[in-house]
Amino acid sequence: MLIDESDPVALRALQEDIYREKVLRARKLTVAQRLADVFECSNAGLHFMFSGVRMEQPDLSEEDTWKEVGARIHRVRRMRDHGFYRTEEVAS
Amino acid sequence: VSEVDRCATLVVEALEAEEVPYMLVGAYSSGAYAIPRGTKDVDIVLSAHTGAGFDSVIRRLEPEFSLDPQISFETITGSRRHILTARKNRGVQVELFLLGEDAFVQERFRRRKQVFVAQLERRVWIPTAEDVIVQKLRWARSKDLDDVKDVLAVQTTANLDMHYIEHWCTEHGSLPLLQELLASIPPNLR
Repeated sequence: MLIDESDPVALRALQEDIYREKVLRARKLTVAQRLADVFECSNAGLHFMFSGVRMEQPDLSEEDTWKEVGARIHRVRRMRDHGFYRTEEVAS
Repeated sequence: VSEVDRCATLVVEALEAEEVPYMLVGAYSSGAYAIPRGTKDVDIVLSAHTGAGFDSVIRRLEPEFSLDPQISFETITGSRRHILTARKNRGVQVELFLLGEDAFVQERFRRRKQVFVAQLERRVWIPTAEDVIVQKLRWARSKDLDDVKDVLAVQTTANLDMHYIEHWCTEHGSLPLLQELLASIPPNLR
């Protein structure tokens, strides 16, 4: 079905259809199945990031590629955590 | 075994071995009741004070994880957070939140339930759907609100203890936000 992208009402209806489908699909799963899917999505996301870094910087070793993945995730976490946590240095 | 599964298994095994009560939270608990999405963090609330229990868990995990020397406190409930980063794959991070004194935080932990996770080949503890909603409304970051809407839509108000949710939302001043999210769910999903 073609959607007129300049029509906000049609776009809104499309968004609601997509959301409805996602919700109805999730309702068919058990709590255990959905929890298992979170693990699967998380692993897939990590490996997509690894592949992305590999594509951008093919000369990096596997270890350095994971380091770069870690650095990117760390930046996202810092942004996410900003204002939400106060920090304290532990005396060693 | 994938890296996220491996890290989660190691931490849960260490907690069980030291008999430290825990529950998986964050995207794991909201995904269990709504639309599953990926996450790079394994977030765990544990009932152990910094002392014997906590230190023993950290000692067990030391070969596989490095403990961030900087601790942080979540600004709303004051929960103390410790961060563990996997030594092998630096992308995976485990956030350990020590159970705080806040009344709702205590109640959420008391009501936790066990669910089998195929990847970890064991039952793990997670909060109830109602408690996921209440806590995320309290935080109210945009991602939290999306998660709350999804839990409400997937579980439906008919299957949730709305009286319990409304009680705590009233306590936290988040009732208007709950009502706004309920109204935002398309009528054919209510």
